[in-house]
Amino acid sequence: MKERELKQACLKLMATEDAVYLSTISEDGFPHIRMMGNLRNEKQCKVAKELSADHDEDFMIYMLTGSSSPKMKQIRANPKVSIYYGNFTELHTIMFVGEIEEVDDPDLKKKIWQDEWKIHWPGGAEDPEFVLLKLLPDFAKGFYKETPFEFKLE
Amino acid sequence: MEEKEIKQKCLKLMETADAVYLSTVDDKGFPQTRAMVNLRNKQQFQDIAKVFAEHEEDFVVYMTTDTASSKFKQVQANPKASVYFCDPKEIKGLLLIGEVEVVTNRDIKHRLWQDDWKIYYPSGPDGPEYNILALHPKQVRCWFVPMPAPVEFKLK
Repeated sequence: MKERELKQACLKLMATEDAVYLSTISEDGFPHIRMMGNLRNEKQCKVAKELSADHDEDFMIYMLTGSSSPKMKQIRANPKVSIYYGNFTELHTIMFVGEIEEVDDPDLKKKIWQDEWKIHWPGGAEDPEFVLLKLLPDFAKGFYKETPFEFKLE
Repeated sequence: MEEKEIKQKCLKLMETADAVYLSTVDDKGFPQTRAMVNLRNKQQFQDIAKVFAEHEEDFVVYMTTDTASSKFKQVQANPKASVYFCDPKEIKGLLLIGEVEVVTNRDIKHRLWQDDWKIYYPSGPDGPEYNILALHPKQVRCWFVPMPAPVEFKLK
């Protein structure tokens, strides 16, 4: 399979999975994994397409979290993360590795905001607990139909 | 919810989850994640449920990997790891944090061995490719909706 086709298949996987797995490094050096929402999936995020439109090449990933959550504390101390998507029926998995950063862009946060998230952030898009994260991955590796692949990303 | 009841929920999730996610730390300090076969899944591995019956208190997780895999190299250089069991539909998640040991005990390796693994490990349970990794969890973090928040506890 050509790299272009493989990348298209990966973008499709990222746009259709319900859950994404984020790993961070704890203060004592252990990796911690948890399930996260998928902002590249239109079922979960109304502006999913718009957010990922210019990121077919760099595979940029946005995520939401709470400012005082344990993962945010870990990310502030150590931004090294990995983000994993997998569909076992399709035998397709991909892991992205890089440094994640907080996006301090009130307009973008307003654009992403959805009212059903008020249970987590009562103050809406301007709630100080509402944190937008962004990963521009350094590399990706995974399996497609039992064949391993790896992309170096710029 | 009492700790005993929470531990029962954890065991139930480990016994039914399709996959388990393993994170290790690479040589540059980044976490790396991949899905592993869940040997604690009772439906898929009925014959090894008795091995795990001895680990209902310590939550030990056994996983199989090849000597040539990147995770095998990573845990040898840095044993700090975690495994995550989850049910995304029901919003249940269980994170086990601890160090990974490469199992050298021949008896355990044989008790876990499945004949259809010959496609991955052609020289069988005593061959050089076949490895069992054991995660010994020290810290547990779990969340079973409708619990309002995650619960943490320590293991010996």
